[in-house]
Amino acid sequence: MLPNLFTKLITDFKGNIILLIPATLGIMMLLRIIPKTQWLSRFPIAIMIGTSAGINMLRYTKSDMLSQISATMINPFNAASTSAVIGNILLIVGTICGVYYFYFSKKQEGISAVPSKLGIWFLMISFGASFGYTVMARVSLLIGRLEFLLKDWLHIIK
Amino acid sequence: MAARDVYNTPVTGGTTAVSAPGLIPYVNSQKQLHGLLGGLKAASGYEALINRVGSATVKMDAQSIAHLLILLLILTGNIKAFRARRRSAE
Repeated sequence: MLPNLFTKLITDFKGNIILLIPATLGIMMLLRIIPKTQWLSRFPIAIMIGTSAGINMLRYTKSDMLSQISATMINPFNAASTSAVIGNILLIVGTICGVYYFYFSKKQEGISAVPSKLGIWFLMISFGASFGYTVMARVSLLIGRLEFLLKDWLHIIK
Repeated sequence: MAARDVYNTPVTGGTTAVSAPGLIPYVNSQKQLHGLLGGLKAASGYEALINRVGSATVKMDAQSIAHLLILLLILTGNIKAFRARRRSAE
């Protein structure tokens, strides 16, 4: 608060007059501790949530929805190597089957159960990969700590 | 992904292995991420690429042994489980 609010207001009040708005909102947030003025804290909380939602909505829509969908809607055969073509086909089939697994509006039986079962396989493989990566990370951490203990601290290994 | 998708700045990077599965989907045809170094294995691969024997390459020996050990334990556990299931069926 001191460098971001008070110092700026003291040194250049006119130039930083806009800082009074967050300062007021901050004080309103603290009024929560007094029962009579508790209701005032709802305004800064509402502004915070609204601003966060507004800023993130654009980013999430672009990054996690539109770009991800565009990345899947590709021509699988438009690739440099055979392995890339196979990778593209797996990407498309895996995405469609994985999403289809969560389609519960129609009972999945007979032929319509096939993509669902394939989707389970893709999901299981992705969960397995995530778990594998987690194991790799934990082993790396263990190696790092052991290296510190045995090399830097105890000088047992060089 | 705000830097790439909102401000159109090319992004690449390296993360711990735990975060890698969550970020790999962004390495796609849209180039949301140009590339990703995920964990120690990727770090050692990068070191090999720039012809430098760093700490990641050194640690990778121990990491590989640990991975082999984990694979062996998973294999042993599965064999024992299959045997136990067959015995109970008999």
